[in-house]
Amino acid sequence: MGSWKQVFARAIFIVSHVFLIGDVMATPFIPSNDQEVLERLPFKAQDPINQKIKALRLEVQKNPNDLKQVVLLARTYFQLAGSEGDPRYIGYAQSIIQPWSSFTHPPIEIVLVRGLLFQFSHDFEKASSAFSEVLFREPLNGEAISWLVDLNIVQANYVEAQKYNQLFLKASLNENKFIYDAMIAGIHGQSKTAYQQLFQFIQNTPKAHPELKEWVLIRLAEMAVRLNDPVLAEKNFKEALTMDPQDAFGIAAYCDFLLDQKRMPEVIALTKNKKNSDILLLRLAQAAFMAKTDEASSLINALEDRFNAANLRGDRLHLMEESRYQLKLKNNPTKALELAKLNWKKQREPKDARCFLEAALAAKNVREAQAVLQWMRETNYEDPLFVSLQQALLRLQK
Amino acid sequence: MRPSFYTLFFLSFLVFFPREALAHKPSDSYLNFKVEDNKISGQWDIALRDLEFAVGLDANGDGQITWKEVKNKQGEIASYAFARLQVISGEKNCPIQSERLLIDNHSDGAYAVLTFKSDCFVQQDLDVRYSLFFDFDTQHKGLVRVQTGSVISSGIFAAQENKISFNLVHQSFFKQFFNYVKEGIWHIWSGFDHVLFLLSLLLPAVFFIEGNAYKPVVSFKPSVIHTLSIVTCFTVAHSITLSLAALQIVVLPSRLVESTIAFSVIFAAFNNLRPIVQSRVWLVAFLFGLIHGFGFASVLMDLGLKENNLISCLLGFNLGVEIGQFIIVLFVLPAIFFLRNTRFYRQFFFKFASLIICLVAFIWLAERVFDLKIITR
Repeated sequence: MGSWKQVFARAIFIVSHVFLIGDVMATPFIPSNDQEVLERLPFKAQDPINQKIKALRLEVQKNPNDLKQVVLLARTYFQLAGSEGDPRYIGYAQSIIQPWSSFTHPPIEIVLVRGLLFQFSHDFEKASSAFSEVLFREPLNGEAISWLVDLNIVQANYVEAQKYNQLFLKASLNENKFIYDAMIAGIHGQSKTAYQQLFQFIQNTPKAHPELKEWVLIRLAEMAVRLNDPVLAEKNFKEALTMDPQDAFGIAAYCDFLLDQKRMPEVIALTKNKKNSDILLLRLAQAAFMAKTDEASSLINALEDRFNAANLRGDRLHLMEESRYQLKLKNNPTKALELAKLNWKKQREPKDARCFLEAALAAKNVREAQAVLQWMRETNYEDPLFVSLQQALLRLQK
Repeated sequence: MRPSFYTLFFLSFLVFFPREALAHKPSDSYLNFKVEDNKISGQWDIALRDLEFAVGLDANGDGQITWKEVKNKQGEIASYAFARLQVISGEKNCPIQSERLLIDNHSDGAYAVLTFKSDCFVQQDLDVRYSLFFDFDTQHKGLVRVQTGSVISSGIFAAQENKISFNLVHQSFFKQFFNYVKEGIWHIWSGFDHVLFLLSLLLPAVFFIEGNAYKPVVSFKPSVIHTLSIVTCFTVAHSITLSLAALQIVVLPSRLVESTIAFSVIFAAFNNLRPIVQSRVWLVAFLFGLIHGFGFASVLMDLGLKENNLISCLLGFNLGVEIGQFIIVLFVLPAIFFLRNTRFYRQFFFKFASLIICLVAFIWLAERVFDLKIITR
């Protein structure tokens, strides 16, 4: 017997699917001016990264059996996918390694790249099995260990994460273990010690890679939020963004912090020229909505178009954002909770938990929130905001 | 404590590639066909970003694509794209002629819009083969939509699925609707079990019960009211379950459904021989109507429900079933009313027919329960 909810959802999907393709198409036009700029590319032809890729592609074309060049090109694309936030590069990388990955036993370098690409497409299961295969063949491969720890933290499998984290010691990568230990402790109600440890780490490594430093600073800022110290959090966020002002992930985290403090104008200033990024458009729309600016409704519509266009493909990578959009901008707690639930199946980081709790509270559905409440109890999660959400939900129960 | 370069290299992955930093969706193209009077026309929206990779649009290399740069490459864009699209109908290849180049802004950037047509005569099928960009971007998808009249079908091309067949048999909403109406009528006539059930309930409509015996009615009115109550209850009940089953909200095993339908016929016919239910025949019609609805649904599923016009199929089929039912009533009721006072009808036909129906249904029940073939071919 099919669940009626599933059937209903399916019927809605089919109906909306048919109308949406029509909706995605606006009215085509002929630009009035020859010089009109229609699209901006991420790079100019002469940019070093463009030159590098061009050269690598030529190399690979000439010598398709040169594994080293193939892997280098695929990894370059993978890096671009991250820094540009454009999943096209994942597709490019996948087709570059395709001839190799069809082997029964692809080279270990190829398996590793496959794992990276799978995790980017949120296929965590395939990613984990690729990294496990790498470890099976090369037990001390630091990169595979790193990803396995990370993937398990994201999915709240902390015991498993710790198990892989121990492997760093054998691989003589003690610093990695140290950072991940702090990260896990920070989620487990020990933000204070974790903060001090990570802070010391940054202090003692002035020559740390700027991206590593930025990443650690954002983690520090998040821990400070958990410790209810907004001043310290702000200091860390700001320092992080001076290291890499273009990092969408860092900006988004800072915007969320500002939104919690109802500092909408600052969010608008940070994101108004970054509408290309879906995650920043969400923050911008949220700020505009909260501040009741004239732009709010057009931003919400733009965001809706993005979600519609993405959902047409059938793969949904922005479930958490979509849930937030439904809750905060569409006032649809039921839909928001449904999306948060789907998201929680895959991703279980604190921000996923928060999104779930907020949706459950708005939908007045304590039963659905049990999974997250249990996660909070098991981890001793200490953020005061989470605790107040938890209490509000428990009050509902009574 | 200073991490080695090696360490930083690993950690830097977390920095470079946070999972949530995807700025936008992967590459898609939007391919629309319109089939009218057996001719194809359409438009194809392809992202300029993708065309830049495939054919190179940014002639001066300044990182900006102007309208002039796109226009200058019109021929190249069209020949590149249409070389990767094949349309086949009636086992014949339909050559596509590119027409105009326009621009459209989608939610994730500017797209080139290629309009096209084909002079080939489109048969009932339309096979589309699509291989745009799959050679260099495994994440690319082609979202295709085919419109014939008011019927719209859609599909998604992906690297592993580059062929989609569309069936254009039902050219318009109304044509399709009426096809299902026709199927509904046909089914109630050819599905003997439904006819016999209805007939068994109708045969005593020209009688009223006095004591334990059937007496012919005097006027036509009570017969019509009796019939109406039965037919209405049967209709309401089977419409409910037909919809539930067709939408796959409730699914019952077909053997159970078919066996219960056979039992319902036995029950209704036997009731004419030895009245078990007298005043609440409408309830019998309703309860068994629920089961007959599942039987109708299995036929409807066999016909094939098109997802995009499920509602019209369902309504059409149900309407057809009602029409078929109404026609039976229209012929049977006046005939038996006319015969109600005759000995032939009262003594012979009414009882004999009920007995035969009972026997046939009993064999069906045996066949369906034990999965045998006795009288069914």
